[in-house]
Amino acid sequence: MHTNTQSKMYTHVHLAGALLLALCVGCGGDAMGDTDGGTMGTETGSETSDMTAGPGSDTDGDCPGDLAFFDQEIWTPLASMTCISCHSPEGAAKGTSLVLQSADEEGYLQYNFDQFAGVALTDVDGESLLLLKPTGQHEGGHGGGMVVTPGTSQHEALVEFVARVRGEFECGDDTGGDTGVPSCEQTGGGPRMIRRLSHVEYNHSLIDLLGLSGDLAAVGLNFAPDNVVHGYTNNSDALLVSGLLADQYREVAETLAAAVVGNLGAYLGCDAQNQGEAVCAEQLVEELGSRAFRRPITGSEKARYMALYEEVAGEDGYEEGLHWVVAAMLQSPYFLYRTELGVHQGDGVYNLTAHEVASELSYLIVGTMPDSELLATADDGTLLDPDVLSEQANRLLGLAESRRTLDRFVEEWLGLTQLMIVTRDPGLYPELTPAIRTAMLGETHRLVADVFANGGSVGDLLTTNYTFATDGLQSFYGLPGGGEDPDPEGFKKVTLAGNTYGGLLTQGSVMTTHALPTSSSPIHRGKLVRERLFCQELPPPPPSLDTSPPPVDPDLSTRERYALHSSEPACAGCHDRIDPIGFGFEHFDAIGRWRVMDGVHEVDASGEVKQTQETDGVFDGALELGVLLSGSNEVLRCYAHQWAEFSLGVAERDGLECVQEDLEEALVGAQGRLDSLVHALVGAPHFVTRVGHSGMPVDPDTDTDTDTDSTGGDTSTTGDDTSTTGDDTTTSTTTGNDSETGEASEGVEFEVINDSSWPTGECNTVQVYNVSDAPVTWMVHLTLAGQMQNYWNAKATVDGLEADFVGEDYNAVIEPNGSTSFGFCVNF
Amino acid sequence: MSVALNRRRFLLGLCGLAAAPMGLTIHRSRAAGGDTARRLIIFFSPNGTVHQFWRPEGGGSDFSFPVGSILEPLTAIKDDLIVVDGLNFFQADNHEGGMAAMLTAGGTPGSESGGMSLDQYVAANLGAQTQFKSLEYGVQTSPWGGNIQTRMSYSAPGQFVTPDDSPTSMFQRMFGDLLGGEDAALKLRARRQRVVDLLTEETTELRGRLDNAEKHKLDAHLEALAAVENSLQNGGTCDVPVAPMDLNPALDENFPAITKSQLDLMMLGLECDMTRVASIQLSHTVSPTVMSWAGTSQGHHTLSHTDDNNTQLLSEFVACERWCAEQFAYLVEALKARPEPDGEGTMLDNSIVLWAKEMGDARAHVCTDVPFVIAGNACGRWETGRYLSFAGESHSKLLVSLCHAMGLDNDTFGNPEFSSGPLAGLE
Repeated sequence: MHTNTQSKMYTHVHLAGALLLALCVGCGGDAMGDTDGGTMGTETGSETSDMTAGPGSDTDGDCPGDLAFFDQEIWTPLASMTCISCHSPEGAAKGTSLVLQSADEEGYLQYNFDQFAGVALTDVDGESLLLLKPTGQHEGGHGGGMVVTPGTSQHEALVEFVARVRGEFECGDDTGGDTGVPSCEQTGGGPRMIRRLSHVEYNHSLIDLLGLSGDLAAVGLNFAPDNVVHGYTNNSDALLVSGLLADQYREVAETLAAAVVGNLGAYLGCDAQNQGEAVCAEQLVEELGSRAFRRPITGSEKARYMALYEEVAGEDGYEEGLHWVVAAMLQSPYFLYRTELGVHQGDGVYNLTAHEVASELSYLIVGTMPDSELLATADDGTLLDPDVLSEQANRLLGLAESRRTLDRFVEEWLGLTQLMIVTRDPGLYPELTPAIRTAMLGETHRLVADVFANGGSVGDLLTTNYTFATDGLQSFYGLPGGGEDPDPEGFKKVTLAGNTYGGLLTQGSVMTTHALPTSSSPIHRGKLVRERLFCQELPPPPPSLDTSPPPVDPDLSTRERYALHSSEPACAGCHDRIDPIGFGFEHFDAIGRWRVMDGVHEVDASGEVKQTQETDGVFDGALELGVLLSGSNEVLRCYAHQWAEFSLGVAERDGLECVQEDLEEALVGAQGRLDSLVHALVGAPHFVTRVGHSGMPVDPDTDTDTDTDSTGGDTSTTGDDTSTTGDDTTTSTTTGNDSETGEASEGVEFEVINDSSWPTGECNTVQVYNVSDAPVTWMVHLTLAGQMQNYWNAKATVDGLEADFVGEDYNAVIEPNGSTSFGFCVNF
Repeated sequence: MSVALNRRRFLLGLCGLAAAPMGLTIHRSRAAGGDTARRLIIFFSPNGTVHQFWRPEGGGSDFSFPVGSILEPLTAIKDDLIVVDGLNFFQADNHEGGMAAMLTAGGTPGSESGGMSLDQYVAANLGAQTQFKSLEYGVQTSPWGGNIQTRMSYSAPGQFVTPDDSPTSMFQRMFGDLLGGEDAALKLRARRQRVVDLLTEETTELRGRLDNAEKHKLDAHLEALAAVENSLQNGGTCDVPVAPMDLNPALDENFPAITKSQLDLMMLGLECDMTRVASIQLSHTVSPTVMSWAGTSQGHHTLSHTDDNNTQLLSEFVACERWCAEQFAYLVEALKARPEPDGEGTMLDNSIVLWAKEMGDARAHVCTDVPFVIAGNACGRWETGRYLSFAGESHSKLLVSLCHAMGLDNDTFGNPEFSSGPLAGLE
């Protein structure tokens, strides 16, 4: 029977995990906390904290030793960033039992390990001091306030560290929730997923589906923005449909349905008068459905839409019937989500269908639904041939539309989505007109596209000695006139003299976005490099410190004002990593113009990269910084990581680490060549394979839908996990803590799956199956493990610990071999 | 499921007699004693405060707002207010921690409040059969997208409720189906309900094919469809106002006009009983908004970090804060000016308005002495015209008090280890 065991779930997005990934707010004033205009990197949205990547993360079998664990999980992300700013020999906490050495000191790691172990072994009322102090729970408080939030991965790491130094931890302890799902290393495939279209993808898809233009072509772009994770708008765990978005989808769908019906001839080659209205309606359902769903519409789906058509047309006629069919289709989950679910091959391995691969490829490269040529290779199944797949990838890369995906990545990577709206004091910077901002963005787009198209590398991107500028931008930058023939929008390729501008980071778009309303900002710019080129996340400052800066002294240069950060030990921990890089951009003012004077001071743009793995070095000015960065494999790996987050739509999710690591190695192996990432991903096993619940019955051949050929198996209306083989009529399969027991009505089976639990309560999902050969109205009775808190997708009658569940209107009846589910939470 | 037009106004009760729980859903029992308010409104403005410019003079019912201070624009409505000082967010500091804790008090799925924010918890448990459980109005909350800095409402831990920054879009959502008249609205809602039925079937079907780890995505979608269904089933007949101007919500220069549009729309929604729970969020923590109309050329967050000696920038910060106070006063005065539809007194008499901030002194990034202002006496439940100072109590007590004033009977809000029971001295 349904033997899938308890699996750790992502059901509850973990708030606390996001707290740690906050800004390194500097020491007051213009310190880096004032990231006005920046949402880069660390400000995560509904970061789905990775509950399974808890202590040790040893599910792969590579459980680190205690010192390595300390290095990876405590020192690098926490102690070296946050604790040491006070707990240093000179710091505010120098008199405490925790005094840390900086990484410059020989043997610092072992020394610091011992310091932490000492605190970990100290008990206060039965709790380790290491778990009390940084969480602000110690009676005497913590001078630095709460720097670690319970429930976060950093807190988990501290808990594991305490267990380790007390000898209470063994590698392999944390293998709970073994689902029998093969690992990424074994198969190369990540987890089965669905990915809701981002607003941009939704917009492009509708344009292509319906040939929209004018005002209609802007649909979706004015929706309330989605949650952003690490600066990216396409994180599949964050892209959920809310009540607000459902309303917005409806609004657009109805508007477009009216447009389609108003110009029906353009969408439907069928003559209702001669061929019959029902025939034409069916043709529309078939054609539009198959394109909107990006795979052949199934017979049962067609029947569902035809039932809607007939109901409405019966009352209000043909066109009104079509209107509501189109409106529904454009809100269908099969349009709004692309599936990467595949067909079960056994042992938890799923092969994606040709149509799923077509969508994956198309959204990856051109950010929209597959075009007809690509769809044809999915229809005949040839796309699954690696040569055809590669050929199609190359074809799509050659399309102009591929540039916009690249543009979107670069904008989100470097935070340029804010360029058009960051505020500059109009009195100080009247030259920064909307036209100049637009030209700056055009410059960046063209440079990236040029480097990409010519087989250039990340290093090239950071060091180019040419750019693309309009006449207006050329004069804004103070670059000499001339250049090649302009493109239709007036951009010319301009050779740079090599002593001022050069490389992506010196462009006006980057410099302007990362500055303040009235001045440049070494902090923002340094932080950009740290977070987006080194992938180092910076924590917030310890709270409770007085971070107010002394009054601004007009006699000081920007650089001198910021120098205060490094003279203050509490600030230096972070700012030593940030400011010396940011100073390298001081030749660029708040709107990206080259300057030699900062007020009355001559600009000093010398800087230093410190505390990196392999990129440390001194430099003078942004051009030298670009050279330093361009030679670094560390930067390449970071770029690959950024691109992987964007392209896979995940942020460090279980099962995808190995794909991300493969991409990093591929980019390093290709010396940073930009297009190597696309080819590496398309060629990876993950692109066509997924892993999932291996306990589910496997029998794709029983797909009852005869309209669908085997390559279109994703259109099956009965999921793999609903084709049951049971012979008993009433069972209770309980997983998790075995605390819920119960029974179900005839013909119904169910299982209780524990989604999450905590000392005082738990939440469960109950999967209900119809194992009979007729539709059933189901009822499930459960004896609860605690007091009912809330439930969903079902109606409940609760009497003490006894609860009867029946379906809501939409899931009260289950078709034969179908299933539904509901959920509930209890407090013990 | 069929759809009928509700004429909302006839359903309105009097003080303390909010609509009884209906249907099979379990609602919390109503509080046993005391008067309760009918509606809850949250007003947010960002980046903490500078206490010496915020604090009133005096105490108890004998207090005043000093000339030039942040709260001075509230002088005309002083007798309708309770100024609350000296509350701390426990186990939370800094911009992100403060933003997350402000309305949740660190709740988890296991907490009595389930990790929801105050507004969502009240909306979920109020049992009001309104078109929208709650409405979230935003002003420039989203140029950075949704993240922990930009969101204050939570439907569950980590699950943001997105505010809409566009008055045009809000208008459409609130009044769009009424633009063609009542008969057309009835038909439209019936058609939409039919589509929702189809979508629910499809979404449930797709959900059944997912691995457990993915199911939450479509659970959220099904919840969204249920919310749509709720609005179709409870849609009323409200007078349709003139549509607001279509302004780019991301530009600073449009901030004041959009604030006014959103507040006006909110008032209409409340007056017509489209919802009993509403919030307006002005920007977000770490807000970069340059409030040039208040006489500054610096971003708000930069200003909030001004040292005491920098009198020029401090005065600019105070000017921005005073502008926010004026918006709060505008809202309160609007509620005060409107009689309760088919009820007694004014809308303010039946409302609680909470001005919340996410930090205390922004310069130290701490969430101690976080400033709150309450407007409205909750149907006579508590005495207004007071300035209350507490000595570092958990703000979760205030949240409990507000729940009680809305007729709920929860003992705790957020992390139960912080506190239990209401805020003594408030009632």
